[in-house]
Amino acid sequence: MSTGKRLLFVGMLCMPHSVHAQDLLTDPADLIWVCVSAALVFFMQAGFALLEGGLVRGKNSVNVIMKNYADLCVGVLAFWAIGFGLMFGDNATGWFGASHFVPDALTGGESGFLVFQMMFAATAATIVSGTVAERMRFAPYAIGAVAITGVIYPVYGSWVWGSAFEGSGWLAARGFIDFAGSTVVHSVGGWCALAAALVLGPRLGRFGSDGSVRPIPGHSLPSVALGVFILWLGWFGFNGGSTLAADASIGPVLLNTNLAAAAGVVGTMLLLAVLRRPVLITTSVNGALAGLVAITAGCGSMSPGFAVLTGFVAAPVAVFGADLLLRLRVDDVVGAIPVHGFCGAWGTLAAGLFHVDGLFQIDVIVIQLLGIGAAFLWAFPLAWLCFMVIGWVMPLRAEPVHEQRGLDYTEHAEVGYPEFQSDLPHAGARS
Amino acid sequence: MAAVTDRHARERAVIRQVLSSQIDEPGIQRALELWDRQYAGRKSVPIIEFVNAIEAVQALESKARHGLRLELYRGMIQAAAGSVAQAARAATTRPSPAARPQLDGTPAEIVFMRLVQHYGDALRELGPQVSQPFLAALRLAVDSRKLPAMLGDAVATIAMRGSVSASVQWGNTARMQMLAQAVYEAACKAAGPVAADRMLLDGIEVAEALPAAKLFSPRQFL
Repeated sequence: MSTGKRLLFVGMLCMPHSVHAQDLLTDPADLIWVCVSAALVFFMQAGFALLEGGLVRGKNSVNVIMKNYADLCVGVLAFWAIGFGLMFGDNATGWFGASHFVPDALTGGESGFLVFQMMFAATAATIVSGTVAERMRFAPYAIGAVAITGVIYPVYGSWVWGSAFEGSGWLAARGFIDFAGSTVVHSVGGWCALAAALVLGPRLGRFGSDGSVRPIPGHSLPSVALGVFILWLGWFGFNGGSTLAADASIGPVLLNTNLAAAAGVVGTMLLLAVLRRPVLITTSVNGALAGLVAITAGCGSMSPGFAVLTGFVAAPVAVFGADLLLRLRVDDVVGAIPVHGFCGAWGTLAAGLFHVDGLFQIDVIVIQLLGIGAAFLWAFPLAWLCFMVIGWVMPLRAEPVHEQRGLDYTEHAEVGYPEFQSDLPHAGARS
Repeated sequence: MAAVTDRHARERAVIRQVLSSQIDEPGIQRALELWDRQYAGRKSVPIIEFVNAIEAVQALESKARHGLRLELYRGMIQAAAGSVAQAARAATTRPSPAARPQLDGTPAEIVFMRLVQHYGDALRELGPQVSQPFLAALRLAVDSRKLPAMLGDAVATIAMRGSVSASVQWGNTARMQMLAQAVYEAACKAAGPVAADRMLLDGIEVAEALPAAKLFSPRQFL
């Protein structure tokens, strides 16, 4: 088989999203499966809320959960109004879709597909909320979420998964493999989070003047653990639903997803033991997320053994990635940048390295690297510019006194734990 | 002009008093000449830079260097407002929590000063590697809020010595709130946010035990 034909074949295998809408979800079983998967992906928002809410101090828990709600809601609306058209509309140029904005006459299958894709868009946006927790104000965050779900995510998505109607994305045409979005969803979200973290700067006192790192422990590690269990569950819909078909192909996808997540945790625990570091629950559960993010690109085109390897390798990528960010004094509260950004990139590369039709094919790997690089070059500068512009219009960062009081009170005038947070102004005279 | 000269004399007295325990007479003379030439009359005195300049001609151990900075800092605050004797005494008297002087002022001022005292106690327990950056961060935090530098110096004195001249005019509650926020911010930068949160909450608890707290709730400084 020639290289061109092989790439076309790989592309057809690995990009179910590029199936045209008229052929999409016409079988009721397919539609039901995708709708159930959409519900599972929606449930991931609850996982993110628990994970991020638990990893911040008690005085900021309401704020970060509110951000999760907000990015879901504004993201869904923005994606429906603009994002879907940009991502899946008629794509004559290969760079963005140009139809189906504010869609209001979709078929049943198209509607189910749209709901499923909305949840993906919201996932890309919610990655940012964990990174910027405890210091970014609520309103600018919500505006940033609109930009991500309305423009940044869908335009890149159109390159890889577009179009659902006419035309194709330029990366899709070259055979770029990203089954369920290691790069499209997770890396793009991770690079947006990196841009936001750089624009905002670290939390007050996070780094000492001598370069030391001050740990700021989360207030509820049980929430963190439960959150990751929910995310793991939701990932079965995230990856499994991306088959867009209720058929036997779901089985290997779910198997690979589960194996990579488990390998991510085991790999993290072993790595921590080898490094003689404490086996922290926060790092271990991030290992599960690292494995899940990494396998997302190749879960439909990889054998189980390589899925395990992908998850194992994701563990050091996440652990050392987090170390690197701390060394660079980038304050990522929940570790979203290494988990989603770095592991998303690794997983996308792994999808090319370990493809079931041939290992280590240089032409496939080159295209994978091209897609990974394109994601960074598109998402990071645009998100950075977006947050800078928002920052010129309104204060992006909470005042130091707001960091002192906690964003729950200063942004929302309520607290997460009124029985325990007697330190807040509610309990005494108002200032 | 006379006031400036008087202050200059007090600063020289502080420098002589503080350095006499560490440096011989020729070294003190060189330090005074350096002071006259580069630092005297400046609105904001970079104590760290001055001590580093002294060290360039007179070797100092790091502990001694830190002690000099703290004592000069305390002394200069007093020198800016008080007498020579008071300044010299302030520079060389160690704070003692057990013998902490009574706080005078309005209920809000008493509560505020007790809160700052608690920060100071906690910071000193963490050692010079924390208390010195705290003073530097406090100066920046006070400047960024456009508060009078003298008030920042007074807060630093309470934190490091436990008390301050009764003549300090703290102003209204809003100003003290801003100062309390500046102290928290400096503690965050010097000791980290978790330690700063603990200092603040413990300080509020300690201040609530004061009789003055019945008239002015310490929680207004949260």
